[in-house]
Amino acid sequence: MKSLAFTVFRRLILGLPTLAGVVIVSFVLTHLLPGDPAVYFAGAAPTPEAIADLRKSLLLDRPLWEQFLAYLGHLAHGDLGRSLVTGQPVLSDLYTRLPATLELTLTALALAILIAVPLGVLAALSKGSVVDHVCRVFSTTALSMPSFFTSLLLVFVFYYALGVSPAPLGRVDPMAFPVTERTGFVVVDSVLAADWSSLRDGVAHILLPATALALSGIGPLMRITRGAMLGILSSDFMRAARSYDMSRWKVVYVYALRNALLPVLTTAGFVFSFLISANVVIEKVFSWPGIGSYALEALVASDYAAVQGFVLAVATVYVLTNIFIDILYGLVDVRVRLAG
Amino acid sequence: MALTATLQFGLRRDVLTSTVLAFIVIICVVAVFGPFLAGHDPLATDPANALRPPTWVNPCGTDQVGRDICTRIIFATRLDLFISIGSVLIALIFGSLIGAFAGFFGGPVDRLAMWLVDTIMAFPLFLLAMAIVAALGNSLANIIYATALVNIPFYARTVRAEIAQRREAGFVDAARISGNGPFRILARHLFPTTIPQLVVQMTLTMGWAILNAASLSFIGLGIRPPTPEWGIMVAEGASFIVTGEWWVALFPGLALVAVVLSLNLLGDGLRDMVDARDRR
Repeated sequence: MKSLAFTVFRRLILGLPTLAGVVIVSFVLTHLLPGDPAVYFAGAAPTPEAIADLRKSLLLDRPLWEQFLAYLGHLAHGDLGRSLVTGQPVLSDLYTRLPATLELTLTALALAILIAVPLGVLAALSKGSVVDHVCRVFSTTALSMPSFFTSLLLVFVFYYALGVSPAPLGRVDPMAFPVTERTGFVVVDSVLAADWSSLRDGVAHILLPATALALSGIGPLMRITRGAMLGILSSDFMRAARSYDMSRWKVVYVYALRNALLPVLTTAGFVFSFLISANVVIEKVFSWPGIGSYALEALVASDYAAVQGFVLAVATVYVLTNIFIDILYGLVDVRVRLAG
Repeated sequence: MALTATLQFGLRRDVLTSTVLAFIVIICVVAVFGPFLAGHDPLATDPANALRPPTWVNPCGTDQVGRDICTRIIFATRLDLFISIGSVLIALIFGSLIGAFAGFFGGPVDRLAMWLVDTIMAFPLFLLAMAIVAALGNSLANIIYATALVNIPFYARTVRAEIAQRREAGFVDAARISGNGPFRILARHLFPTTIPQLVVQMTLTMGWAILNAASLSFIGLGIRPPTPEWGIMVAEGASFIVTGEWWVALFPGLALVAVVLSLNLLGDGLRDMVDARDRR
């Protein structure tokens, strides 16, 4: 059996070619963006000299490969460049905005799992019945709803019609006294500060966007749970467990579900990365101050550095998630751990 | 042909799938002939009648400049289906070519093809489509290319798996002994066996392609107003949701969901039929 540290190290190395590909592709793609950042940067009435100076300082007058080498050099020092729109280093922009995106995505993922796994188990236990068909139509419907449309429906019902949700304008009430920032997660920070009114405010703001986002992840999670449960329930060791006259509850929820969770875990990783890109749309609807809305503004302004930084950040999160899932897999499944 | 028989047999037994298929046929008829039957001009503004709730004259209400929303939804059907069919066909052609060669020849060809596919898959797909449209420009063709590119991996994988599995089959040997070259075997004997799975894949990705294109338009990286397109129409209605003019966004959104949902249900139903046939 190999040590956990070795497994982690090997997985990190295996993730490197993917990241390298992402760096190259994002560099090339962002340099195809229309518009000249020098002109954008130079202000309202630029002189040709000012533009030429800016082009020089942004290295835009150099060949593409030189720009790429310079970019790699900066990247090695953790320098992602400076955003044209905010004027701040991209790294610090991403750093301040990433918690908002992660809080939203993780809440949505948790919601999706909490809804999808029980429904998937239910569908598997009543295979072919009305319940199974209702679950199937529900998961297909959730998969077919564009997240921007779900968001708008939720805003209409819960903000306009019922008036129970706050306006879809960000993470917190702008009038309220902000909670001390520790983790950057509003909900967690409020709990840490024992500030219950902030907690209520934070939860109220995140509920609608997280629900809209969660709906787009429910379909695949539910299908995988159902399929995995069906496979496990018809396996030999389940027959053995039943023949020992164990309680149905214990057989289904302890032995079967535990084994069925492995494919669910893999799908959860896939859904997480899908949700991060679906975030762009949700953040626009709810004016959520995350990296998705940041990237959208950057794309419109041909802000190379910001777009590259965003793509790189998302791809890194994506690769790290896959590694994390692999390691978790090893911890949960004894067979994988022994095989090393 | 065996596939047609499977479908006829399956559709007769599966009421949901055959109903959905009928609905999709109606949608296609609307896409082709709807613009001739619609009562209004999709671009004609009428400020005096702006933001009217649904009435008999305007069954889905009017938008912020008084255009008839129902007419715009009908006109948009053609555009959205065109984007979806166009991108799925491009993805189908390139994806199955890559997959077929990878599955049939194996070795370095296979490794190169799968590296390509994995590189595309390493990106969150919607972000990749977003970046491509932003880089190449907001045009109809670029939306179709971007949507096609992010769909290629799914076709390549499906076809590769199907062909690699039958590469050593007896009928392939028989074809080879009868003097067929490798390309002829691939095109005439192996590729046709992947068609059932490809049909399933196409149905499912068509729905996804519509969602993708509409989402691009919604964030402002796709079709531009005033062209009628479902995503754009929902985006235009978004600001009226908080003031209570729900019909501007609701009806185009419902049209979008209805079409995507039926494509997904059809794809699921077809997959069950094809899987059942494969097991027999």
